[in-house]
Amino acid sequence: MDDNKYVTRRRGNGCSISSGRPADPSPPSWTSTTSTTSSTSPTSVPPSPPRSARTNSHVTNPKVIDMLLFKGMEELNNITEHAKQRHHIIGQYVVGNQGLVQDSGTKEKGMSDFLKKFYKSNYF
Amino acid sequence: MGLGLLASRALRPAASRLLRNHSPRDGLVRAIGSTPERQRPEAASAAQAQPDPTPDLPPRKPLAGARVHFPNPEDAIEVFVDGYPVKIPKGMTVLQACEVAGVDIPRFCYHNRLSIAGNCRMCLVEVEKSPKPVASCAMPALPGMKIKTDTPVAKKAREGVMEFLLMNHPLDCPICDQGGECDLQDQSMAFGSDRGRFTEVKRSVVDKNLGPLVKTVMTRCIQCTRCVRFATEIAGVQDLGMLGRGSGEEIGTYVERLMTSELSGNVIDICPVGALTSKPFAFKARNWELKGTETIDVTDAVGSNIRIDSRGPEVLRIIPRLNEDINEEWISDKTRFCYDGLKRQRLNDPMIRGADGRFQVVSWHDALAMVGEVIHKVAPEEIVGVAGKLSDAESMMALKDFLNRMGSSNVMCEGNGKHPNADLRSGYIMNTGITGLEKADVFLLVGTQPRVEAAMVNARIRKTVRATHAKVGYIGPLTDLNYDHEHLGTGPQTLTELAEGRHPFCSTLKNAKNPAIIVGAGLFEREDLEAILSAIETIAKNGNVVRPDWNGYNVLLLHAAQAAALDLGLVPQSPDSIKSAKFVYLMGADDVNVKDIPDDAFVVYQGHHGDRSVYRANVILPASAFSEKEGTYENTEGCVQQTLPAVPTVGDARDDWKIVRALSEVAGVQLPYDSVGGIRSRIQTVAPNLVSVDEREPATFSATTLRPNTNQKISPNNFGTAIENFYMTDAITRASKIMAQCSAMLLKK
Repeated sequence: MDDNKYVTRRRGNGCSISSGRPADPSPPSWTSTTSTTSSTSPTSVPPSPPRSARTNSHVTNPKVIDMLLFKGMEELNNITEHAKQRHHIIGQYVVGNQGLVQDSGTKEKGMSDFLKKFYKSNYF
Repeated sequence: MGLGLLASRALRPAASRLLRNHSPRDGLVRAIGSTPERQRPEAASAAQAQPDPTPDLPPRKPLAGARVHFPNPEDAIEVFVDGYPVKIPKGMTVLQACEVAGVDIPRFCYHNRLSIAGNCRMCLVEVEKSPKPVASCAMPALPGMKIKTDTPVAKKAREGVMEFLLMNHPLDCPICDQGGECDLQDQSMAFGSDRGRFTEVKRSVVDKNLGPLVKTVMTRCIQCTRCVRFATEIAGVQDLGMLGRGSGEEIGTYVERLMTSELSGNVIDICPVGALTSKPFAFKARNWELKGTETIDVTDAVGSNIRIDSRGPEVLRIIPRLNEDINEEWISDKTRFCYDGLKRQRLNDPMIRGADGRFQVVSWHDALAMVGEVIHKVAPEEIVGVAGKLSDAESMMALKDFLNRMGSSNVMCEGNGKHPNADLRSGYIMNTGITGLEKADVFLLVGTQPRVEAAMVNARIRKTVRATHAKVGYIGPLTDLNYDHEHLGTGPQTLTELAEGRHPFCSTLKNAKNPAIIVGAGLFEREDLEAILSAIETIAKNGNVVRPDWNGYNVLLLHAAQAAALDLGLVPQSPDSIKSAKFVYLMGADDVNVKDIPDDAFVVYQGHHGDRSVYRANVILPASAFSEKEGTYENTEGCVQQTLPAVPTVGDARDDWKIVRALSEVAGVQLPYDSVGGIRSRIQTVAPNLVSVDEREPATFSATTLRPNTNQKISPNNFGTAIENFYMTDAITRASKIMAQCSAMLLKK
């Protein structure tokens, strides 16, 4: 995603859409409605959704972009309508893929690849 | 399978002809047969009676790839099944001949491991020159017999039988646990009529209480008597029987009592309908929702082949898999019903015991760092490792390598005793093999109660005794063996008499063609083990038990880990090392006497259940159970098999060998393998037989000729019982609620 003030995306048919408001640095409103503040600080939340969007930054196929946009809107709707449960939101946006325990990096020095994977999961 | 094919093949030639002859008035008659030709089968078969043209279908193969064994080639006879000539050995039944010809005959009462009852009549076929259809399961095939399985007569007969069976069978398939795997359901779809003439009230039968394992809905019973025959013939208990006759016929226990056999769960598998189903599995799942994982059992040293049926992260049931060499198609109740123990009392997270004596959940990083730090603070000779009875070969190899790198040689495996002898493989495995026991004609059981120690081995002995009237002599405390046996004595005294040739059983042993001695692994714990083994060797020598063509010297192990542990050389340097240990690594070892461990010792418990040893542990490292990992196990006969992961691990648990490997790195003595492949190639250098999976490697040398003489004296203490409670022997079964119920209800006090 661009670092523009307005979150925009070019659509497949050439026109661009806008979320209609500036990207706000304060935590999104759902953090308070779902009381996720108990498990995270408000400042750590905003990077999560853009991060997940950035994973698709290489996509150029307009059809796929359309589909991603649709899915994004659906996701946003689900969150705002409370269709998504609190622990789903925490798992996806607060905790993220790296889990609750995050290595700071200093401890990993000199560790073998095996041990790094071992600390993450049983399946490797 | 072949059923649909069979049906369509039958329909094709005659259908058009019969449709032409059909008068409109016939259409008004209420037809019972699903096809018009079956309304007048005799006429239809007369129409078909013209000489058959040579069949143009490809030659058929025996069902399920079965191979026919001809004990005596001269006794082969030829029969014709649907026009195909088949060569079969004399004495086979018509049904077996059809199976060799690749024709699946529907059946309910017939089971190839049980005696023939011939009472369901579902297997009726037409035999040329026979006035009536014959029950193929009970009719011996005769030379030149012309068997017809897809004629209108045979089909009409099946439809008729099916109509009678369904007459009193309730229409409760939607709430029946057998639904989806029900023989009656399948066969009524394939061979039954689309309607029945029965309009009365169906009979109902009172359900019987067979105990905590088998649920009964006796109204569904079709009186095939498979369960009765299983109980009397295989399980060896006279618990079930047929009561009443005619429409009042019922299966039941004669008086109000439970089914007490250790193999009782198998009646669930052999019941063709939903009359006998699994009580713990009742209403839990439908069979098509389940994922089957073909793996092996680790609750005893037999390594029965099983299929774990799971849904998501939950094991829902365990059923047997066919393996003629090990468990045939049966499993013990402990194997079948221990699975609920996998859900209870599990260790989820690494934990450290705090100063207040309570466990605190920590990260893997912190737990391993603590263990890695402490292990360096003790002298190498004060480090002791104990592998548990459920450990796989990979983890035992890793544990041994790790502790050796730490400078300690005190690595042992539970159940192998203080003085294990791992030098000669023939000294600790079942040299005859489990199938080999069927060739024996005399058994001498020394200090072993196979019925509780290895139920499947006991079933094999019982099979042999039943088939060949083999003689069984037993030395040990009074026990309940379900075959004829002679109780020779209770302790080593009798053994000495046998060794010195003073006992009457000596002549039985001497006159035997293939004598087999089975030594219980419970004796491994005795102080006078060497003396007892040497007495047994003398008996073996005198009775000519070990010959080039027959090795009848067997050790019946108790636990899944024992054989592999001895193969890998998990032998402690000093027998009482645990009493002076300062650092004890318990890898799933729950039967270690915790009181032997000094109070100031640091105890690491790595395992999957919060069982006995956890109470003494300082650090807990959660590991995966056998249903969650890929591990190599060697059974009591030396057959190497592997478990496969059926469900994901619980919580933050890791595979055993991975924990040891990670710990070795944290402790600064990194083990040189990072994968299962790597650890297996390390195992190959230590015990090459452990990498040839699903193969049984016989021992090369015989222990009876190479063992050094001993000066030990035999102690007069009687042999004990190795297993007090059949249902609860390890961490998994002790955590199981079903096994607890069984212990409370079924064990004879």
